[in-house]
Amino acid sequence: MSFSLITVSCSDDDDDMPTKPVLQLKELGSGHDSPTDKTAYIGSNVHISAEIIADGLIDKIEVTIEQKDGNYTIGKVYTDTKYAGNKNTHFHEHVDIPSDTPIGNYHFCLIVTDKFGQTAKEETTLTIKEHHHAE
Amino acid sequence: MKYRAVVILLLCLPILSCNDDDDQDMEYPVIIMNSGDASPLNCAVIYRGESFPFKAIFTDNQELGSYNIEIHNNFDHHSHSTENEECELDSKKEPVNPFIYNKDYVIPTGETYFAADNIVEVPADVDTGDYHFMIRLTDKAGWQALKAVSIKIRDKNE
Repeated sequence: MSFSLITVSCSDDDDDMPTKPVLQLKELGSGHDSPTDKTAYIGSNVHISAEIIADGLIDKIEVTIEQKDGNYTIGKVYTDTKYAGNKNTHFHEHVDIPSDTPIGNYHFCLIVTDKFGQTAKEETTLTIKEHHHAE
Repeated sequence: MKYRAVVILLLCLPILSCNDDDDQDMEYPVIIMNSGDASPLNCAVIYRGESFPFKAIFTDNQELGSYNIEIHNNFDHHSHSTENEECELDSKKEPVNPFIYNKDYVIPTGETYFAADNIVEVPADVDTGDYHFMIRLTDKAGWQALKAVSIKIRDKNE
């Protein structure tokens, strides 16, 4: 009797992985004036804002920007403690678009990975244009 | 007699084994900056080449973890969701040598209340203008609270 009680007691919890991370890309754009225009200017940066919840704690957040008809790639991985180890975060970063970046359409991808290796990702198109001067 | 003791012990085990789940922290930590000496307050003016205090109260239902302070420019007039009061902003401009600050701070273990009191130095050669002062407080379980405060960096001689 006593043995059976023990085996039943916690089996559910031990088998379960934490809930997968949830990622919501809120803004992607050339700046805070136009935070959602999905455009970035060469020599400037792209503004990214997202809300993340990770029951299994955030391990890293990755940004990849890949040229659609070419091989040019911009990538950045965030493992700062302001994000890593958290169950939730407001992700807000500016990724530089180097001066040698070719103009055109890019595949933008934001990926969050939790400590259990589970991921969530959001993808969209980002257009990179010639340098644009502020007002 | 021995057998009875073993049975009692085993019966108790399942009760002990699941304690963790009942304690699971589901609450965010709290950043309080409404006391008299909280700093910086929204729309505060800070001078470059000087330092200013960061003072806030942190609380959590179970245990605080750590916090991070980050400062970035707002020369393009962006906003963060935690702000409710708008400050008067300078004209938009391109950053030349913007002030960038990003530092992690530890909180002693076992605390549910912590009075943060730090000094932030502002270099004399950074761009003046509008900035955001971001506070990210994380509890032991990993829940993070964010507070964004608008500040303005000025030159004392201007």
